[in-house]
Amino acid sequence: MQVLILGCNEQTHHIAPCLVDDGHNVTILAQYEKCIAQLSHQISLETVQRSGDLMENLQNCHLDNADVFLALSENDNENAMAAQIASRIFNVPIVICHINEVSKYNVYKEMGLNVVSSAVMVSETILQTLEGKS
Amino acid sequence: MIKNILLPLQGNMAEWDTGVFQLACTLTKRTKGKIQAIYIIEVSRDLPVDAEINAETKRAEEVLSLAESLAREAKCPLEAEIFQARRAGPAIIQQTITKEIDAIVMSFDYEHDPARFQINDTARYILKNARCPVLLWQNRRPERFPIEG
Repeated sequence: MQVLILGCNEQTHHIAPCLVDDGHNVTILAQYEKCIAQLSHQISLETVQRSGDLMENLQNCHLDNADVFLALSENDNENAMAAQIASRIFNVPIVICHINEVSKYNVYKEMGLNVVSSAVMVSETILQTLEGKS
Repeated sequence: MIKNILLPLQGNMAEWDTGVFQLACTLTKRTKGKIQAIYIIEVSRDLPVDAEINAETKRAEEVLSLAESLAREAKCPLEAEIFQARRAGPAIIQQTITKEIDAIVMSFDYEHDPARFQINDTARYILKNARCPVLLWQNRRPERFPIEG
C-alpha cells in the first residue's frame, strides 16, 4: 500500500521501518531536515520537506494516490486539518490522526475522525493493568 | 469534484486567522473552483430579522472586504455576501443548498481554557446537518494564552 506519513519524530522512526519491512511504500512529509535525513539513511523511503502551505504539500506528496494517511506530527491542529483533508477531500481509505490533547481527542473523535492519543492509550493500559491486579 | 466552497466568516478582522482562507483558496485552485464567502449576522428575537444593525454590518463588510482583497492577491475567484438570520447554523446549511456547495471550510476559535477544548454550537450544528464535506480549521492560539512547559 502507499502510505503517507505527516511528521518526523519518535513515532515516525518507530513505525516507518515496520511499514517498509511489511512491503509498503512509505513517504514522509515533515519539517525537520535532520530527522528526515536520519530516517532515509536507515530505510528506503521517499521524503519530502514541508514548506509553506499544508494543502499544497499534501498534494505534492500525491495524497490522492495514498491508501493510508497517518497524521503524526507534533502539532494537533495540523494533524486534525491534514486528516480532515485526507478523508473528506481526497477520500483516502485509511486515515489515522494522532491528537495529543485529550480534550481535543474527544472532539475530533466525535467529529468522526479516526483518532489516536498517546495520553489516552497510556491511561487505558495503566487502568487495564491495575484492573488485572485487583 | 470540489469546486464550490462555502467559507462562513465571523468575528472581526483582528480575530480572523487567514489560514482558513488560504486552505479554501488552495482547494479551489486545485479544481479551478470558486469560494463563496458569507458572513451571517445573528439577529436577536426582539428585533425583526431584517433590522438594520449598523455595527455588525460594518464589521461584516470589513471582514468580507479583507477576504476579497486576499482573494484578488491570491487570484482565487471569490463571491462575498452578508446575510441576517436568527441562527448562523441553519442559515449556513441553507446556503449550502442554495449555492450548490461541494464543501464547507470554516474556522472556530481556541477555547480560552485549554482543558475545555470544544467546538461552538454553530460548528456542531453544521457538522451534524451538512450534506457535504466539512473542514474545521482551528484558529491560532491567541498570544494571551501562551503554551506552558
